[in-house]
Amino acid sequence: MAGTTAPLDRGASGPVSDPAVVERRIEALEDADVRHRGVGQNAVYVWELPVRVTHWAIVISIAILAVTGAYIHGPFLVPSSPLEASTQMATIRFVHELTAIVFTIAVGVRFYWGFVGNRYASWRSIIPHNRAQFKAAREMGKYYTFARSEPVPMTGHNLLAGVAYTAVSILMFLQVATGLLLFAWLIGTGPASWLLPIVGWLPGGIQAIRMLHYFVTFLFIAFLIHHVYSAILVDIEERTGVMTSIFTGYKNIRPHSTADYLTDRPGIGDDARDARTIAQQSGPRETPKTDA
Amino acid sequence: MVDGSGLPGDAGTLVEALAQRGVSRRRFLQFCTSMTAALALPRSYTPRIVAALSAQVKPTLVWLEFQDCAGNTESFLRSPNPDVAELVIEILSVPYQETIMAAAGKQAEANLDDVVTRLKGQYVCVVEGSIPMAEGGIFCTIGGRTALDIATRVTRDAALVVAVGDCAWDGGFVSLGPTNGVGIGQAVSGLSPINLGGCPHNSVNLAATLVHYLTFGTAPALDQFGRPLFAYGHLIHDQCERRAHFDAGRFVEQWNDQGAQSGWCLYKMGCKGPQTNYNCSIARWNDATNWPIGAGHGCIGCAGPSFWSRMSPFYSRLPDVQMIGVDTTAQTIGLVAIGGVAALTAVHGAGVIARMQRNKRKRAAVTPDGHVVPEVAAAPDAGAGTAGDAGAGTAGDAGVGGTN
Repeated sequence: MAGTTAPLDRGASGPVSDPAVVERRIEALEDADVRHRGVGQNAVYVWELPVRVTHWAIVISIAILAVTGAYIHGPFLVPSSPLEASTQMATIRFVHELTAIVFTIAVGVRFYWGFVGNRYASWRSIIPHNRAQFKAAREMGKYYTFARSEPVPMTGHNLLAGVAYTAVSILMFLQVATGLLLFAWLIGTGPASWLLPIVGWLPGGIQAIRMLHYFVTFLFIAFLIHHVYSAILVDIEERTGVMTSIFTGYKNIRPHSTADYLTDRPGIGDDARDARTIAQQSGPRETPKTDA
Repeated sequence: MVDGSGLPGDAGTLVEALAQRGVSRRRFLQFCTSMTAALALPRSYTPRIVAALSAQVKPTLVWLEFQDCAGNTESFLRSPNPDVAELVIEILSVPYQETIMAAAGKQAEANLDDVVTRLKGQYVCVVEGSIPMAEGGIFCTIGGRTALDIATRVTRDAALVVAVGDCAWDGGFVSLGPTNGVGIGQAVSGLSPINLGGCPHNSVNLAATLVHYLTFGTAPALDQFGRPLFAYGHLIHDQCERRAHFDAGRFVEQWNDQGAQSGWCLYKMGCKGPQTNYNCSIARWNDATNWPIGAGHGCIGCAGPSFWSRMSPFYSRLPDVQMIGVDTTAQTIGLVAIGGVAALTAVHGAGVIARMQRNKRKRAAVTPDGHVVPEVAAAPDAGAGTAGDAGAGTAGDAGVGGTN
């Protein structure tokens, strides 16, 4: 992140009242935005490799974990013969545990990348924590409730999506934690055994943990529906290549057309003027001169 | 059998007592060997246990019984052959046990008082049943004294306190009633009893706990709930004779189906074996004849904490979720959540399509080089078709219109 952005005056992190200061900072940040640009005139490198790899690792591992977990909860397959040797449940449990390790590592790497990755991967652009970001999230809320015609254009995550990702991240940590507790419970000894006493002290005990672990899977599936839908929707509305960007890493963003610089830097998004700008901003700010 | 007439503590050594009862030396050695196994000790410990028990002057045990069903007494006493219970009672002097003591009324209470005053710090106290805390504990009184009063007085000076069964451990079934029944460890502050959970407890584990105490002078190693690890250190699931069917994926689907008749795994019938730590499958019941899963019924998790509320319903894999006025399952809530999101998504998608249709005139087009451009400048009234676009949409429409 630090290597690709212009040096910024980060001295003041509180609200900025002088419009000239705000203007200067916005210009500096827009210059930084330009420096992100890679191949092609408008291609901006948004999702770094670790972000894309962990994204797909999480997608695939959740799919495997959901199916194997459903079997472990209520075995729906029948061994081919009641007499021949079978390891059906044992194998599926092993796959579940192995995939859970992949999932845990992917979640851990993505969490780490939220602190060292570029500005679009940073926790700062995901967890709303300043005035402009909350404003942007509200504006996206208006968009989703048909009270606003265009999404707030963002190079990275829109802020309402950020809220959703924050919630899903918490669910992922919860799923890892409950899974580890169940694992500790079953193996009794080994590296996870120190977790075992926690199971006893939690209200509801082991059964509550099992229920939670089962229930969160449904929330992942519900999120999946929303996530794919809104990605397609934003892809159609913004036409910046959201859907391809999670494979390639690049989005098609015209210069100075997004509001990221207003929301993810200390001292910038706190200003009332920035919040106003976000409320007003919609669609491209520059129209190419190729009109028919 | 019970040392009801004599004074506690003066019944001589175990060897003399066993000889009087006609219990052979061979039978005694068998008992010591089985206790070594129950305690999960190496066989080399058997001579040490034999020596310790042989030299022992009969220690005194008092058995307090409060809000209970006497199931733990039954479990302790009802052996078809002279077995663990009888041998333990021979090993110990038991002046106070409501179900089997010869004394009654004032005489019985005097025996208890005598133990507490004369053998301070030298007797073993076993507690069965929960202690009512509501209304000053008046729901259970013996000889005019509340259970809490008796328990506090007797356990305070005991060398070892053992809570048998779930009621004495955490209040058990009684804790769900109106008397606010709690376990002995909760009722008497500062007391850390050995908890032999189970409904009822297994007398093998009580005998082994006492043998451990008599041999080594200490309580056995305990888990976080004060349960001996030798009995509560492993999952039933890992010691189950039907485990191979679990790993193979062969399950009983409904009672008395082919799988049930073939002795397949009871996991889908709500068996709590994977959630419960107990040596039930090893120690077994009724002179080690059988145990619940062996008899074709899933485990109900009776050796776990608060099992009546946590492990029920006993024939479902997961507990119900208590909603306002109605119990439902996590699966139902999850499916409703997915359905809700899917329905909202469909409605929203329809709304987006409708808006796109309506805005077609002013929609942007994509140029050959990938730019989005408006086909016509937005007319002021173009977006005013609905109230939704009227307010916040104005600035946005202006943006699309290329005023920037």
